[in-house]
Amino acid sequence: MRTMALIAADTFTACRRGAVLWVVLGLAAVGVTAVMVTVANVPRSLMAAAAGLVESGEIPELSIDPDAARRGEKADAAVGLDDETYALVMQDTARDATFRYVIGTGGMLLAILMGVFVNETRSARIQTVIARPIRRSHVALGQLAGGLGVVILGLAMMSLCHYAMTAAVGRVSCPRCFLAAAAILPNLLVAAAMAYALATATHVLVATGVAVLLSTSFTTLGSVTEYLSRAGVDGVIARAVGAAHAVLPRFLEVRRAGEDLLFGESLPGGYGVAIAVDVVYLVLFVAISCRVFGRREV
Amino acid sequence: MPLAAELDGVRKVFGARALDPEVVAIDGLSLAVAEGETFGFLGRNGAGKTTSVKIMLGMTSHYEGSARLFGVDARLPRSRAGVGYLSETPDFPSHLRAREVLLLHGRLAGLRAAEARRQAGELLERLDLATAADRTVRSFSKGMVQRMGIAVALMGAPRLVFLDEPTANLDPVGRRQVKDLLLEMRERGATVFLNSHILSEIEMTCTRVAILSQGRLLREGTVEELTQVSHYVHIGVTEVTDGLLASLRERLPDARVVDRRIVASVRSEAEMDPIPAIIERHGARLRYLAMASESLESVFLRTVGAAEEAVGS
Repeated sequence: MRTMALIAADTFTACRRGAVLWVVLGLAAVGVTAVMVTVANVPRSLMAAAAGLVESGEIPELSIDPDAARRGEKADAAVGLDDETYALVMQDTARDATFRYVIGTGGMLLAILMGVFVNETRSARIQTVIARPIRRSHVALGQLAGGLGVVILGLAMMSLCHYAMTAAVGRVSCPRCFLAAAAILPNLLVAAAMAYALATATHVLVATGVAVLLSTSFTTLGSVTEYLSRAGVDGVIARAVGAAHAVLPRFLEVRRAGEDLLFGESLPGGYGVAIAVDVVYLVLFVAISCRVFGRREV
Repeated sequence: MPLAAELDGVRKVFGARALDPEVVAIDGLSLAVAEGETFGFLGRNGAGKTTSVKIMLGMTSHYEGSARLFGVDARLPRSRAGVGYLSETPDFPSHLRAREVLLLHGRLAGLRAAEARRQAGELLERLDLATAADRTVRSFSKGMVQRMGIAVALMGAPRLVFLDEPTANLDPVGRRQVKDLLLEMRERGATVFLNSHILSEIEMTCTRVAILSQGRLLREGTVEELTQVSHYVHIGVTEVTDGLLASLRERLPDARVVDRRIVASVRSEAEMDPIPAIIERHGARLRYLAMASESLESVFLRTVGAAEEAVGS
């Protein structure tokens, strides 16, 4: 425990002195401002066109994609509003978008990069550390704990930035964004642990690429499962997708829960199961990291 | 005397990779280093020295045979209690300050914070790093990083220290400091396992030496044992003739002319007794007759050269 705490503190110091958090804060500020300004100023004509596109059924995927349908309904409703209410609705939409793309996607990228870069198990400098009377698993756990600490702090700073910038730009600040960020934290911890495990087993660049691909796949798998279910598609592929969705991390459900909290809704029913699956994968990736590093020739 | 480090029949093979064949790094190596010894480990690059050290430090676990530190299986973390290590290429987290690196290692070695701070201060002072104690390691020169490596290895006042090329990148003053540190450690009863290419350093500091080539132990013994197996006699004469050389070779078979003097190996001083008479018989005059021990460097080159020739033939 003492070893882990020492290594975790060292890893955290490395990230802090490496200006990682300042970069995160700066990028979050730019991202929130850009998305907020862009989405809040979408002209009414574009919203009308979007609503029309969903209603027309010209693109069937839009009518069965739950997210697209929801955005279509919102667009449809927004078109008939007076100017002041329209502006408020669009600012609300912009807040949704900034959470999804800046905190959700940006947080995921931060988690993956932290998982990869705090990993020193393949570096020559680890030799001096493991020559001490300590277990390698404690070194791996310490590094990962330090990295996860940075992810949590980074997410908190991104949420703070989101809160401040939405207040400054759109006057629709909402303290619920902190709660929403906490709700999606399990996804980020799994992504960081997965990236760490991959970096323990392979090259840093391969680990980063594969971690991004897998994280995106876990989210996409949720969308594809919903899509197939709504479209009533059955067959071997649909069953295979359903089975994969049942056993793999459910990033989509967790992210949706965060978005629900952002808009004052309660947590969806499947959130508990999704969190349990995330915890199982977190433990699995940590165990893989310890095992691989424990057997590695340094 | 209890053993600090031992290898017993260790064989380590690095598996074949895409473009590289299988390599036998260590082949049946057995070594025993007693507590309190300053042990020199010699060998060419790739002889298996660093791999042997890594096996003893538990960094490599896939090998045949056994490795123990203080009688404990080297694969177990507790075997490394009271052990320090200077790697061949010391590298430290670049964001940490010199003092912080030492504190971290002191704590990892099991020291309390106050004791770690005290030892860090002492070592920084001792290795001329006191003025750079609060600078980050990334601003250090190669020599300073090497001195940091030595300081890290000595944190926790280890009973056994593995030093891999401790004087690499050091200036003459730094080398002298390392030599003094080694002698001090010997005085306080610590065991030192020294990998070095600088044979004069090993000759001056080590109580026992082993020579390794292609993963095999060729020779082992005290520096005196290794260097006094044979002596050389240097004979200066007014004129070297073929007849004189032939007569000398009847007694000293390897007698040869080197820089206008005759050099031959002898086993004892007694073998030198007939030399003046032989020289006089051939009408030459003896100018000097001197006996010298073989240097460790010469022993090393001869031993390794012979082993490589044997493998080549």
